[in-house]
Amino acid sequence: MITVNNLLFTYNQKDKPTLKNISFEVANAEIFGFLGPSGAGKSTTQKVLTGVLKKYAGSVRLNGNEIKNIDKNFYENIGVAFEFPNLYLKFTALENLQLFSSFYTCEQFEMNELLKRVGLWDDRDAKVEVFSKGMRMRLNFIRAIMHKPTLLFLDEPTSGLDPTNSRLLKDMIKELRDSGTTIFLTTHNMTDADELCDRIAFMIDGELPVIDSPENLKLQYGKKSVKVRYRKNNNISTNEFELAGLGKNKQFLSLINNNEVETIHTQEATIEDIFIKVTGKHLQ
Amino acid sequence: MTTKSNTHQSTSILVTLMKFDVRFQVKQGFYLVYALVSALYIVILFNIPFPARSSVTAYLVLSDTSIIGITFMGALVLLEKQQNMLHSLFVTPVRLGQYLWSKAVSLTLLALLASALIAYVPGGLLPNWPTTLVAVALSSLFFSFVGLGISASAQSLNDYLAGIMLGGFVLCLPLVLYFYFPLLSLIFPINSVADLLLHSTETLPIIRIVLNCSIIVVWIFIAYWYAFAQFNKHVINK
Repeated sequence: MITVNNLLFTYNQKDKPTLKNISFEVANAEIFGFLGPSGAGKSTTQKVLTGVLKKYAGSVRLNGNEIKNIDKNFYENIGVAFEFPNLYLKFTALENLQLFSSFYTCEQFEMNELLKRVGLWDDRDAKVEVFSKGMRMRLNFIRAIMHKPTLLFLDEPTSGLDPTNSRLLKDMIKELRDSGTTIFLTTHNMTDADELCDRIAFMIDGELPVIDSPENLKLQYGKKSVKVRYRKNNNISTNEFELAGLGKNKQFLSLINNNEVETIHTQEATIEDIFIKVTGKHLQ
Repeated sequence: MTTKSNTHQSTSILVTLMKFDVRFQVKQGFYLVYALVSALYIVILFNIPFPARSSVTAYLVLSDTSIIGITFMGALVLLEKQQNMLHSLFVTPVRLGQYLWSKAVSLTLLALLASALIAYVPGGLLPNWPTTLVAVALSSLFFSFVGLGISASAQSLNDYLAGIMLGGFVLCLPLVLYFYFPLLSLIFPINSVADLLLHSTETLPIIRIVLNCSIIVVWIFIAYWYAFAQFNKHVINK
């Protein structure tokens, strides 16, 4: 779907490049996560991929076509939900959707059904200015997907959502992926990245030092050990054992046979641990 | 998630945007403000006897309603910036040119409406009405594009007001020349507009009407190019 080769972008010729020869590929129907601190170049990458910034060096191809040569039909096939909901506040939820819907000639999702799905049906005729942040995020999301884009850009899609609505949107994102939509997800949320993304890329200072699946990264950077919490004489204790030869480890076997085990966890790294380890920086 | 078929788009994006912009301006109170301003002008004009009423009306239209574009454009664009709408629009099939023309044409409709009320209800510019409306339409388009260009880089209403004070001064200063060199000074847009409006109670030679309109049309495209470049620089490529 997307092939990026040696992408170099500089806003002003006098400044240092914002994107420094980055290369990556995104496959069809893949959720590709882009992780990095503010100012790393994530938004600039998204602007290049959405055809907004065209004065780049290198190659950015979408289905084989160079993005800088795209025509307006390109926008029939992409959807973008920015981090901060972009909505006309004096207009109702339905009016906001109707305006954007009128820009597209392609087949679209049924607007009423989308509103019902994200729990905004009863508020469809209310002005957006009275909506909470969570309601605006949900409306922003369905506005980005209503024209059935083949390529969807999502920036912090669950920001400001309660757990129930966060789950709802994550389920919808997975459904879209399963129905063939390619999704480019920018996020600080490690749980979202871990749960949703087929592959993730870490962006630091305009470079991409790591691109891999969350599973591979966790295995590669995690400790190959297991931590056991157990109760002994009414006290909770913890012990850690190497995974190698665990089945024959007498100390481990004795512990689980002679004590009341509370929890057992393998010690794979979290995405945040890996990010800090690889880049030396925190995500927030 | 089921689908519906949107097989035919009955109206173009530009028309859709223009309709939406007019509704946006109504909801934001632009029409209410101008209804009140127009009512005030009409009351004042009814109290001025002819033939002075015609001249005062022409100067009112020239100095106010024909340049609504530059006055209101800042508020219009800043409201959209505040609501984070601009980037969302430019990642849809909406193109920058359509956005700019929609803004300029929609404010020109307001300018025409207000001008028609002020010019014709008290009867000051009742004769030669087509010239007046053409002058207002062209002037409003020109000043709207100038306003769009200035608003692109403005981050606050103060920024915008500073920009239009400077821009307005530069664009209106050549009007002084009109009273000394009426024909030569028509090269400036405000002078061509003034020539059409201030003569609207008598008949201007058709060639001079065409000349004035042509000059303003050229300036409209220069202002459009300026607005386009400013939006590309300060909004899209930022």
